[in-house]
Amino acid sequence: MTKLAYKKYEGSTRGQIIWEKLNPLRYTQTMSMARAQLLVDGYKEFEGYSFTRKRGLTVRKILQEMPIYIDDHQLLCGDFSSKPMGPEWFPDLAADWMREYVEKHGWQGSGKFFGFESPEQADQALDIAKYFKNTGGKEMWLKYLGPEEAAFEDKISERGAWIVNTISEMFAEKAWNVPDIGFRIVKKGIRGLIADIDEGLATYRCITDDEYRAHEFWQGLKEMLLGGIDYAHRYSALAKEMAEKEADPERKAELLEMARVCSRVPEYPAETFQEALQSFFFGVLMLFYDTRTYGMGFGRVDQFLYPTFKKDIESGYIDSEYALQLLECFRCKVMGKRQFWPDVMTPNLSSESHFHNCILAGVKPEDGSDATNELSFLWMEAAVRCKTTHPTLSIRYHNRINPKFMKRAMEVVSLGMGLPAFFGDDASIQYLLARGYTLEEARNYAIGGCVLHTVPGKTSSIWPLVMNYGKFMELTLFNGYDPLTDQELGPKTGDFTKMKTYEEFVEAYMTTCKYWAEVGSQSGRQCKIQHLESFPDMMMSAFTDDCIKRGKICSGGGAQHNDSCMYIVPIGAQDVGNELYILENHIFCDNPVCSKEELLAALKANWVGYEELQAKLKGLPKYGNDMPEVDQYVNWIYQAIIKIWKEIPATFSGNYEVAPHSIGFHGGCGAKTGALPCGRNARQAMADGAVSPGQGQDIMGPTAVIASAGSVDQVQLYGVLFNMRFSPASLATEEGRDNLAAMIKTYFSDYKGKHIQFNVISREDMMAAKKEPEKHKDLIVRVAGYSAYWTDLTSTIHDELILRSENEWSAV
Amino acid sequence: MKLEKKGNLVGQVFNIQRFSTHDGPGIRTTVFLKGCPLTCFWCQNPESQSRQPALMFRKNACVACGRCIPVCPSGANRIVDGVLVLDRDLCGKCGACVSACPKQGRSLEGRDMTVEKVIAEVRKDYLMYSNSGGGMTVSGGDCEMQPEFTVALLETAHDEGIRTAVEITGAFPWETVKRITDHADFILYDIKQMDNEKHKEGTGVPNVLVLENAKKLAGANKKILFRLPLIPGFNDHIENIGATARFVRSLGLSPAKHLELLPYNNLGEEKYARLEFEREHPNYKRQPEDYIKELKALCASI
Repeated sequence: MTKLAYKKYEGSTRGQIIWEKLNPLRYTQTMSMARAQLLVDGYKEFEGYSFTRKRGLTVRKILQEMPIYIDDHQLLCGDFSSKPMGPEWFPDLAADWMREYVEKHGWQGSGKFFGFESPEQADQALDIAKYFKNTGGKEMWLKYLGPEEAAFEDKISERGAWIVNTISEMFAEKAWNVPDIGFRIVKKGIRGLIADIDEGLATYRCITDDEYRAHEFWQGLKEMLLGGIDYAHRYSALAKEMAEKEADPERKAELLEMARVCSRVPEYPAETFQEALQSFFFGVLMLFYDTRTYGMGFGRVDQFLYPTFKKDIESGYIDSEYALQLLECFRCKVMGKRQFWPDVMTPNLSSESHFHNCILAGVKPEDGSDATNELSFLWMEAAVRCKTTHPTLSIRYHNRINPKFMKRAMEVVSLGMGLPAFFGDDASIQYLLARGYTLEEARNYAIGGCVLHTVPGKTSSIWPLVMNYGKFMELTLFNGYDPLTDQELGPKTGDFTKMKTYEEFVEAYMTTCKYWAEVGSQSGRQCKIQHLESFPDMMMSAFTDDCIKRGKICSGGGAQHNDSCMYIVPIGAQDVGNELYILENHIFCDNPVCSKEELLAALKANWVGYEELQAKLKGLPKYGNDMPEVDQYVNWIYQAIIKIWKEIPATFSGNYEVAPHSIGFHGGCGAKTGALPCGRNARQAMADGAVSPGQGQDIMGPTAVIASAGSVDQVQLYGVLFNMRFSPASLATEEGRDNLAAMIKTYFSDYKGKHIQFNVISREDMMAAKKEPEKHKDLIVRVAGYSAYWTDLTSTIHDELILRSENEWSAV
Repeated sequence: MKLEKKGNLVGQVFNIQRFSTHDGPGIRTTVFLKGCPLTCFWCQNPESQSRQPALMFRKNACVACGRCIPVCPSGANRIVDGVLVLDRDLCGKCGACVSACPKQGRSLEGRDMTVEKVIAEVRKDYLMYSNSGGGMTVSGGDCEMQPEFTVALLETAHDEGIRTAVEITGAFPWETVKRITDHADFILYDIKQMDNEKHKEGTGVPNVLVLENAKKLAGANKKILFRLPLIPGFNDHIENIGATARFVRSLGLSPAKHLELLPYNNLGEEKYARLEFEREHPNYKRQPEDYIKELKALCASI
C-alpha cells in the first residue's frame, strides 16, 4: 500500500498549533444558538409525529443543517458547535433559566459567563426559551410536581439547605455510562445498525402499547442514524472543496484523505485507523447533538482502535507519528465541547469537564492477559504533547500490566498534568461479576463519569443523586433543625442532649439517612422517568444492547443492564466517620471531652468562644492515619449507606447503587453545612473523593493513607475516588517513581482499591497561582475524575486543593 | 535468645518514620534510636544525641498561659516578665507539660519502646516493602549505641520476612559493628572526613575506627552505601571528596555507585531553638547545583 502523505511539523506539534489557536477562545467565544434554533424549527416542522419520531427527525435536521467548518491543520471532522469553542444550548433540558441568565449577565456576558454575539442573539435565546416554556425537561418536571412540591425541592436542593440534589441532571444530561460506539461503529457502521432496525420493522406486528411505541422508536432512531451519514457526507464535500482551493500540496493531500474518510464512515465499517477514529468521533457527536452526553465514557480507546492501527502500520499506510498526530487532533476536538448551564452549578462543577474518560491497558476479556499495546503508549504521548485538560486518560491496573507502560505512566504522572488516573481491575471486576455480568463482559469494563466501572454497551445511561451525609449529621444533632438556614427540615429524631448511648444516636442518624433516602430516591425516579418524555436518550440506544432488539429507549428499559442506572453520590462519609469516632469514644463515654449541651452550643456558635474545645477535638485522631480504631467508622458508614440503598428500588430493575466520588460537590455541600463535632468549621469543604482523608488530616504519610483507604471494603461501592498529592521533587527521580508504582500496586493488588489519582504540584506553586492566576493560565490540576485549568476553578476548590496533604518521600 | 524475651527488650526510640525512601532501597520504615557517639557540629537531629529523652519547646507557640507550671513535679517552669522560662537543669523530662500545653508547643523526643512495639509499627507497611523491595532501616543517632536492642529489632524483622538496613557511624569496636551488620541486608555508612584531625574537630571523635571498620565490612562483601554529608568549609572541598572516593575505590567499590554525596540543608535549624541546644546551628548555604555536579563527576572519575 502507498504511504499516506501528510505535513510534518518542527518545533511545535500539530496538536499544539491547533490548540494554541483554540485556547484563547475559551474566554472570548460567544454563544451559539444553532442547535437550539434548529431544534425549535424541527419541532415545528415535524409537529404531529409521535414524540420519539419527531425527535429523530429533528436530530437528523440538526445534523443536516448545523453550520460546519474545518480548522486549519485539523485531520478530523465534526464539531460540538457551529463555531470554534462555541457553547451550544440545550433548551430541551431546561429553558426557563435563560431568562434569568440574560437578565443577570446581559447580552455581553460577565466574567466567566458566556456572552451572546449580539443583542439580537440574546433575544433569539429568549424566544427559544419562550417556545420551551412548557416543554423544556425541567419545566415539564415542575409541572408534574406542582408548585408545593417544587418549592420543597428548592428548599432542600443546592439552592437551599443542600441536602439532596436531584435536578442537576436536568441541566447537564445524560449519560454517565459507556456506550459501545467504538466496537459498533468501527465494526458495523451505521448501515449495519440500520439493518438491525429494519429486521425489527420487517417482523413488526402491533398488538400492545409496547409494540406501537417500538415502531416509533425504530423510525425515529433510523432517522437519527441516517443523520449521522448526512453529517459526514457534508464534511466530505467541504473537505473536497477546500482541497481544490488548497495551494499547499501536503495540506491538499490531507484534505483529500479527510474527504475520502468522511465519504466512507460512519456509514460503513472502518478499514483504516483514521477512518476508525473519525467514525468513533462522529458517533460521539451524533450522541452529543441528541442528548449532550455528560459523563459518557469513551471506552477502551486503545482496544477498539487497535486492529485498524495495527493493519495500517503493518501495511505502511501510516506511521506512528501520523497516528500520534491524529490523537492530538482528537484531543483538540474534545476540548471544543463547552459547558453551559445555570450558574447555580458552578461552585460544584467548575472547569468544563465532561468526564469523557479514555481507558488504556487493563486485561483482555477473553483470557485475562495484559491488553497494553503500542496504541496505549501513543494515547499517553498525545496527552504529553498536546497538553489539554480533556479527555482524561485512565489506566486499568492489574498485576501483569506491561512494566514499561507503567514506567512511562509514572513519568507522565510526574509531569503534573493530573493524568493518567489508575483503576484497579481486581475489585472492579469483582463488583461487576456480583451484578450478573459474564466474566468476559466484566473484564471488558471501561469508566463512565469519573470512576464508574461500566461495561461498554451493556448499561443504561444513569441518573445520579447527590446526598450530603455531613448535613444529615448536622440535622441529627439538631433534631431536624438546620441552624444555617434557620428552618425545621426534619425528621425529628430526638433531642441529642437527652440521648443516653451512642447506639441511640446512631439509630437517630440512620433514621435521618433513611428519611432523606426515601425523599431523594422518589424525586430521582420521577425525574428519570419524566425525562423520557422530554429528552429520551435515543441515540444512546443505538450503542447499547438490547435497545434495538427490544424496541425500547436506552434508559426506558431498553438496556440489558439497569442494575446501576441510578446511583447516589454520598458526600462527606469520611467526615461522618470522624464524627462517629468522636461521638462514641469522646462524647458518649466516661469523662467526655465536653457535655452534649456544650458541644451543641459550640457547633451553633461555629466555635466562636469555644476555641479551646475546638482545638481539643481537632487534635483527636482522624481517619487517614492507619489507625484501625478510627478508620473502621468510615468503612462502617459506607457499608451502612450501601445497606440503606440496597432496599431502595431504582427504575426498571435493581436498586440504587452507592458511588462515592465527590466530583466537586464536597465544596458545595461543605459550604452549606455547619460546624461538626470533629472540630470542622461551618462552610468548610468536606473531605474530597471517597476515601481521601480530610484536608490536612493525614499526618502519618502516604503509606498510612493507603492503608486507611484500603481498610474500606470497596468492592460493593460503585467507583471509589481517591486523591493524593505529591511534591514534584518526590517524583523527580526514577527511585521515587518506582516507589509510587509500588504503592499503586499495593493499593490495587493487596488492598483491592478501585481508583487512585495524583496531583503533582507543590503547595507553594498553588499559593502563587492563587495570588496571580493570570500568570498561571497553563497550570493544570486534578480535581476529581478530571483535570482542570487552575484559572477555571472556584476559590473554594483552590483552597481545598491547597489544603490537601502533600506527600513528600521523607528525607532524614 | 528466646523469642519472648527478645520482644520484651526495651530501647530508646525517638521517631519511627514510615514511608522513608532515602534510607535504603524501596519504601522503608526508619526507626530512629537515641544516642550517638559523635557530636557533629552540624547535626540535623540534635535531639538524638543523648540517650535521655529530649524536651522540645516551641517558644513562638507559647502564650505564657502557665498551664505547664502546676503540672511540673520539679518546678522547672515559671513566668518571668510575662515570658515563660523553662529551667532545663531542673527538668526531669517526665513529659507532664507536653499534654498540659494547649498550643501543642512541647514534645518529648525519645521514649522507651519494646522490640514488639516497634515491630508492630514496622509491620504495618509490610505490603509496601514486598512490592517495592523495601523494608526496615534502623538509624539514629547511631543504633550502635544500643546494640542489644538493634540486633533484636533486626532479628525479629528477619523472622517476619522483612528486609533490614542499618545506618551507622562505624565509630565502635569491630565486634559491635559486626554483630549489628551481621543482621543487616544493607548498610548505610557515613564517612564525614578523611583527615583524622579535622574529623576529631568536627565530630568529637577520631576517624580511625570508622575507616578500619569500613574496610572490614567491604571485605566481608556486605551491601554497603557510603554517605558523605557535604558540610560547607568542613568536608566539601575537592581534596576531601577525592580522598574519600579513592578510599572507596581502594575497598574495591565504585565511588559512582557506592558513595552518595548529600548536599547541605538547614532542616535541623528549628530543632536547635526548640531544644535550646548548647551550640548554635551553623546555618550555612546549600552548595550550588553546579558544584555538586562537579563533585559527582569527580567521584565518577575515580
